[in-house]
Amino acid sequence: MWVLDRPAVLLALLIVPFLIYARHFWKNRGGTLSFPFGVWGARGFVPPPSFLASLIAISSVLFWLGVVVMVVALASPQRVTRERSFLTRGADIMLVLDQSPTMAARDFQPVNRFEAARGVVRRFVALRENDPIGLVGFGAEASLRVPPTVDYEHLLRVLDEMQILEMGDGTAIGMGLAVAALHLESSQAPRKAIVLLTDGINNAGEIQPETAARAARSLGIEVYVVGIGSGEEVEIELRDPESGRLLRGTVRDGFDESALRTIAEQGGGRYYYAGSNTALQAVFDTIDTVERVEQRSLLRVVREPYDQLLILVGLALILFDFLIRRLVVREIL
Amino acid sequence: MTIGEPALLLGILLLLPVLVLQVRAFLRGRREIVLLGTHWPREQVQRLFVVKWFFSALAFDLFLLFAVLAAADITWGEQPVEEDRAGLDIVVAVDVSRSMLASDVEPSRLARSLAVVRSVSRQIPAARMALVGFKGEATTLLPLTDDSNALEIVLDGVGPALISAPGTNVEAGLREAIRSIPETSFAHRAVVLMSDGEALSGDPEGPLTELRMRGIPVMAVLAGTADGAPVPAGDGTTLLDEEGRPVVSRANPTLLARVATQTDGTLLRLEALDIVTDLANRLSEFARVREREGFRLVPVRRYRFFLTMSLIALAVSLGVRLVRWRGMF
Repeated sequence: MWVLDRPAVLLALLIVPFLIYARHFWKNRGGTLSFPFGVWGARGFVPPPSFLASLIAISSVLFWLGVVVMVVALASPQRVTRERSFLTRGADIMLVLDQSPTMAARDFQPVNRFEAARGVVRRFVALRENDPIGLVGFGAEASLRVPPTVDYEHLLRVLDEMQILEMGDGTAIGMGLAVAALHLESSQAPRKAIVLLTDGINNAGEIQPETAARAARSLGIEVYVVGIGSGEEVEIELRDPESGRLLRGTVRDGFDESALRTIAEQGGGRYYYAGSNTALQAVFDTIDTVERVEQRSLLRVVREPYDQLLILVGLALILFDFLIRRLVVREIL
Repeated sequence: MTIGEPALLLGILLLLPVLVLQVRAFLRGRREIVLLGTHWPREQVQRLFVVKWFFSALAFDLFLLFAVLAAADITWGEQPVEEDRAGLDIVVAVDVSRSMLASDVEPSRLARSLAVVRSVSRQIPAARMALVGFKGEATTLLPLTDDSNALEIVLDGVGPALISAPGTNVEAGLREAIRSIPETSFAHRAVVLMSDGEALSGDPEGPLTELRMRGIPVMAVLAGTADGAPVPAGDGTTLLDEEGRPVVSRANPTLLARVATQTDGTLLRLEALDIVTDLANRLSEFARVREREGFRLVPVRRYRFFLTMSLIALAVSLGVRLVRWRGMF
């Protein structure tokens, strides 16, 4: 929204028409010399239209436009935006994303499971305002990618950089949960949650998923588990992040639904199955609704001034008129 | 008094060509006015032309001068603005250029800087911290978070290899620091800038103005000594110049002092024995004072004064020409 901080200053524009008359039309104005050219009683001399006359007219228009623009700058034009500051803390949420090779299965048409998961995570983050969200990636190993933060721009940038297979060929679900729990341990948030997305069976890492889920629960963290995959034989295509080689094949799903349910139960949370893009979105919509904390916020008004730009534009227009009159028209006064 | 856009003051140089054109017009006009006004006394005509030209030209030059000063965003004086915040967000911008590996501050400027960050975060556990690294460009190494475990992990991995672009662009560092402060934050905000101040590139004026307007002070920590130390090459040897002599890096406080002054921050020295306590106390005190007083002081922009003078001068320049004097012109 645009506002003027001192709108009364615009009253000065009322004298502009009088100044225009005085400068261009007033017969008795100074700075001009009058010469009689016609016969007494006949029509006066009217100079024919010329390029110079047109140029003077354009230059004059630009001059007065510059004056108007500078008067508007004096009225302090500002762009006003409202900024919301949150007085309360939101829920801390750690997203734990499976980066094992089977996530390249193309049963979430038109993309693969990993891309589908990435898409719903993006939408999930976009709906949040004040909830610190973190990111853990796991394959054969697990690693914290982003700690719980409200810097969603950074989070989404890191999310976009994640690739399948970069954490190795394996599925260390327990390690992923453990890393997530470690980074929520000292959190003072009123609600803490881990959302695990996986399509596989735990086959790597030193920590069992159930153990990690119990540990998370003891820290007051709820564990949501989302099992994704269609359960059928599907094509798989991925690029090795180290060698750049394109790998193709097929995979028949292998996640143990009962094991994932157990993890969710041990973590005091819930298990969801998502066999398609739509289902995955619906699951995240549900989690989004559940993991909400009542927030109090303050609306601040932020004013961004735009006078400087107008001053420079006005100055440029008036200088242009000056140059035309001195260089082209060759005015002496 | 501060100037928000000092580069725009170069516009005053426009006075030179304007003056040249005005003098040219004067010299030509003095001859032509006599030819055109043959029915008036010659001396009177010339005198009147000189007077009118002088005041009209002077007023136009003043218009140009005041307009440039208005555009340069000059501020002086301060006024209180309500500041209703609680808590503290700290963004640390660390110079990770190769010169920060010099060991005039032991074990190295960079290692000591990171150790200070670690210690300060432990002394102010309630504060959220973010970490930005900068060389030729800047990147967020740790987004704003209260996860102290994550901070420890990131600090262990900070080094010159993190960023490929060479140089030391402090403007990029400050801009990334500003970006990493979320607008939804209700906490007081402060930036800690750690650098040896040597061979800095970029123009920090823009980010400094924004930091000042938003009331975000920069605690500048100068890493290194005036005597300096050789810069390690990374392979156990030292960096050599074209003539085979060791490159010595010396700490330069000039820009860091300016950054601190313009944002109502402080300049500290990394080698000081009490740097951790001093920095932690200053950050905590800053938040405490703001919370207690409930307001902060912002600089008052004076562009309206200069713009008004500019428009008055333009009106005078016009008026001198428009008013017919002594029945002549």
